[in-house]
Amino acid sequence: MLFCAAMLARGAGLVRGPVIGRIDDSTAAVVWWTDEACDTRLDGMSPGGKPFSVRRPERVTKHVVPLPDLAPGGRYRYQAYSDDFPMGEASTVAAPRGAGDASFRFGVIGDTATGHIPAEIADRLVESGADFVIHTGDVVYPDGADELYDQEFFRPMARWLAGGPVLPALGNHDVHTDRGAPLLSNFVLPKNSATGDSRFYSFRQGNALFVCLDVESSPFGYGSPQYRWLVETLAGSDSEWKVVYFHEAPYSSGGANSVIRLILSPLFERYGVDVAFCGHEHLYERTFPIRDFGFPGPGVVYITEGGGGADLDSFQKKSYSAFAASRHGYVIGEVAPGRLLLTAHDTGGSAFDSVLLTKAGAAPGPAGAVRRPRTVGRP
Amino acid sequence: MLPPAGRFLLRLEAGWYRPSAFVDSEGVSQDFSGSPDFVLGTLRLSYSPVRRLAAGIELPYRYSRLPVPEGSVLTASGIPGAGIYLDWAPVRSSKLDSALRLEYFHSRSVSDEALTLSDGADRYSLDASLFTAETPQGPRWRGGAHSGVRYAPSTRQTSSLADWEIDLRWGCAIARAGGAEIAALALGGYAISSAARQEGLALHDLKSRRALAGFVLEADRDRGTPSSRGIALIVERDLGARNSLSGWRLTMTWTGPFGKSAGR
Repeated sequence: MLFCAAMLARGAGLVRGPVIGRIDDSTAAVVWWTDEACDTRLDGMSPGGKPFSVRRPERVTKHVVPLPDLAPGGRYRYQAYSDDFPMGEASTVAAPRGAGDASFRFGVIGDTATGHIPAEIADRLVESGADFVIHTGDVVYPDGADELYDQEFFRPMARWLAGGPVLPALGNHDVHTDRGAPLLSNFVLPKNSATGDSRFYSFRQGNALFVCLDVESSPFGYGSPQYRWLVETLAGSDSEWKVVYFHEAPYSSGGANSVIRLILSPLFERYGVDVAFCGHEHLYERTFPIRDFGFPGPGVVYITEGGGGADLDSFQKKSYSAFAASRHGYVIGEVAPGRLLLTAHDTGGSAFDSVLLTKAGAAPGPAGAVRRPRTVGRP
Repeated sequence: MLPPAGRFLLRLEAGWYRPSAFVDSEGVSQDFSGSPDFVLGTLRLSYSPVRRLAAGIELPYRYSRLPVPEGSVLTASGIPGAGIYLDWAPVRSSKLDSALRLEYFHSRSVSDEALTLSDGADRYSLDASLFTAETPQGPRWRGGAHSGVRYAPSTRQTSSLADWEIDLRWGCAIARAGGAEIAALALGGYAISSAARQEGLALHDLKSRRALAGFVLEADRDRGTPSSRGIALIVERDLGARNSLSGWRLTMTWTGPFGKSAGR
């Protein structure tokens, strides 16, 4: 109580965080917000026990501390301070993995909404050992209002966010407010898109390329900056696995977006995308691999993960659907050389669907090469 | 337009729609890699057993073509459904004509294809038209207004759909050629729908709207008589589209009565 009173008296109240951001392929960041401008300090310790400290005298309310020189894959302990007062509890952050580190886990969530479900999912994500989480959009309902981010997202997800980043796509609800400006200011994300902001971006983790697209507030049609950037990004990647994620699903038994299907799906197929994660429909669904608008055969697997807490949607199972369930939950991806295992879990952590994609040979192929995955397991 | 009592009226429509883009709810234009072509041919045949009342059938045929990025061209063709309708002319004077149409259209089941012929929604519609009479006593100018509402109840496969449209035409005769009177009319309209279901595609389940502007060229033979028949060329451009396709539409129609006349 005295501690809190002293903090308030000095004007160094912690508003939000610390949370983990991701700036580029190799740089994580620790981020926190204070209610008044104050200085920034981050003390940490490497996996080998070597201490480090970052200090910034500038007095700010949003404190972003990039961690650019972390040993790939290492887990670093950190404690944030402002005006010498600790900001939250000490935690750990996993360093991004380098190209040579081909085994890691990631989480997928979408359409999170207030209540106990996101908090339960956050606990399961911490237990999963995932390095990072991608979010398929609709972070804050109903309109992506800035003032609701703490209540709807940062508090329920706090346990996960202190140790790992969430990298979101813009959802249709998120862009209701200022074209998604609150989301873009509340997350620290890569800024390597054609437009220089984080509406769409990509990052590499180990032997996998992750591409986040904006299908809600940016042109994605033929010849648009995003379209051209997507082609360049996919064609120029030598990653073994290529994963894209965005909000509205081009294939969904709940309701598919035909425009995305007609414009973007052929690109995914041409440039060797293995999996596309989407949200929007409040359910879980996995399609058969789809190519040339048909199935079965080698192609792109579309997974809708929109069960992050919003009220569930009903569906009419389509012919391309391999599995669909109106359930809250999340997906864990396990990447290893030559294999990608995707498992859907409910909020209690029980698995209810999985698919294993494999590729012959573990070594990365040449830029632009398309090596089709093989689906070898379905429940 | 109703057939004379005791006669049939045949109306053939051929529409070619070439949208260059889908404009989303935020006004962001999403361009296709090439211009899709949506061709819709419609046959409407009605019969009037008594004056001012007619019953008819509608049979459309659709051909769709879409260039795919980095790939080939998708095509689909077939019958998207069929409709039956009742026409009634509540007002018919020397200067003004009217028509009310109540129609039920049964859609072909929706498929999982990328390019579909039908959005799968069976729908009811009510259309009202008011236009200048085709009589010598009618006004020198030509014009009219049309408004229609459509409603498709939800099914296991599709959510409900409601839409409303209005269009206005105004113009005058500009020439006579080959025994036909030729008229030019300006055209403007507006349409709003609870979802973007266009050209058989279910593009998006969000409110859709668009305005349109264009012109109509009409050529009529025996105008104002029971044997009146005519052709029309309609050119339209979508304007201010939101959650809607946007492009040019070209439509040609041919209308004419046939069968034994029982007098009007």
